[in-house]
Amino acid sequence: MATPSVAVPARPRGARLRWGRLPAWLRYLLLLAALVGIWQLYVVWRDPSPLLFSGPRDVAEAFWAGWKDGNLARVTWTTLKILGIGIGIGAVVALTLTAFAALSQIGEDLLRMLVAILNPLPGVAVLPLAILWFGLNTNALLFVIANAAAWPIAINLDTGFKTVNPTIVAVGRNIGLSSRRLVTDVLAPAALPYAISGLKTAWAFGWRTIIAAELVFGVAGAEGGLGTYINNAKLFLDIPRVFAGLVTIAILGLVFETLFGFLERRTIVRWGMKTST
Amino acid sequence: MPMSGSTQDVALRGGVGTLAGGRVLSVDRVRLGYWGSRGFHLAVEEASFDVAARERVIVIGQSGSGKSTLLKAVAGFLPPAGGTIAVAGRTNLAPGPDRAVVFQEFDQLFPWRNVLENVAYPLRVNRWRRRDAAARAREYLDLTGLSHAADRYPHELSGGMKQRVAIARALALEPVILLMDEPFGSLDAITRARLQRELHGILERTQTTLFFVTHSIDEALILGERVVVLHGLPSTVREIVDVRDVGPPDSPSYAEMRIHLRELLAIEGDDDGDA
Repeated sequence: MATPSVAVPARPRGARLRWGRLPAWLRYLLLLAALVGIWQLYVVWRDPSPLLFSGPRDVAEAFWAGWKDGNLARVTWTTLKILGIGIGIGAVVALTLTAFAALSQIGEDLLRMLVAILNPLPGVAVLPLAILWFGLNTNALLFVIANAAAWPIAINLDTGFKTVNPTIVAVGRNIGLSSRRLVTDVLAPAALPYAISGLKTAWAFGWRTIIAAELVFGVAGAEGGLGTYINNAKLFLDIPRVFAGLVTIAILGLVFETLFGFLERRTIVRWGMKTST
Repeated sequence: MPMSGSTQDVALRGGVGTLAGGRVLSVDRVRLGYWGSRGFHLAVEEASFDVAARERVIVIGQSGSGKSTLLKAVAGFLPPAGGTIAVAGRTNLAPGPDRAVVFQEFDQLFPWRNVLENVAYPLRVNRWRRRDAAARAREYLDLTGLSHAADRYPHELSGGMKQRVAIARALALEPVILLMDEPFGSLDAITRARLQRELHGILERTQTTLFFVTHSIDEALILGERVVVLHGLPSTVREIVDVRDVGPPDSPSYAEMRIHLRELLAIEGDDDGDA
């Protein structure tokens, strides 16, 4: 049993290596092409009702048409804008609470309790209340997203500030930094890995929340977003457009994943504060 | 001994240009401790000694003898529970660059700044112009043999190189007195011996006043001119030994001094913690 063991792993290893040697973008492109191929095969083979399912060709056409006439661009912009402002408000709330928590025991207790109560709550769950308070408009959406984004950011920032290496803070004081510069020049960059991680989670939570909110409540305010677009397309039984909306969401997810990855490689990965993306 | 006005005036900046024989650090009947989970813990019962300009004084003691606590107090991180610490005549000691510290920990560098920036940034904080700070930083990187690593980030350096950067950073500030808290304590024996020799050469050249804390007798003999021996828990100064004339490590006088210091530290057996 012992002697042939050297030869045994050689073959699968060689096969894996050939795939592994391809550049990453090509590997993913090939996988994506395979998935679209299966999708197309299913449509050709089972011929599903066009009122329930669309093939890649129809979806591509609807997607292209949607971006060409500006409808998809408009709703995407609306969603991203509300999302951005909402996460921004959430981040400010989180920053205020963590600063308060860093300065006093009561602040820390308050943060712990709020996080324990509000973080497990799905973002959309507060939408009915938000609509009662703010009306069926953008403010209600902003409230819901800010709530969904604030808690993951607050948890991460709090952990980030608490785990700053005390030696580096001592060095900061030793070289003569004022309290304000100690925060901006030492504590903030030292907590950056956690800040980015919190922002990533907030982005994911916010994204899910806004699409869900738009889907459930349809038009929110004067302008509709991506969720509204998908919901309207469904109402008109325009299934390729439903898919076009979904594809847009998927692509945006990829784009922001790439952006966050880029940001991390330029900062915390480069500085050895995070090992890989 | 009256503290105010008695010390010769030592210029705050530039350890090099200060008056010869001026007292840079004065520790007078200092009592040190800190608040722990079980109340006040006394680390240093009483300690008195002086450090003259350009002098290299090593504080030696076993673990728990309060030697690092003493350094923290001089650095301004911990107010004494009794007595006075005066640096260049000043007794209100907040942490500051006139007492630049090199710590034992490898992670004392800013990970988000490369080697050059790690040395230049503290100068910038102290109102140096960007170009002057960079030039001075390069000068001290040359001195510590790090010019080739100027644009590397700390995580790309070995432990010995990280400590070199920390030394360059502290020296570049040209402190009135350089404080070092077992800076080679986490290094392997070979790197430690090399850095001890290098540091000795650099200090000779820059004429830096040094306050150095260690538990290693050999380190004290290689780097120091006088050795303050802390003993007991809480500790007192058992003896202040002049080691200027001990000779090279293979000489009989060195061996004799080594035995003397071991006796002062009350170390039993062969193992004294040295590698």
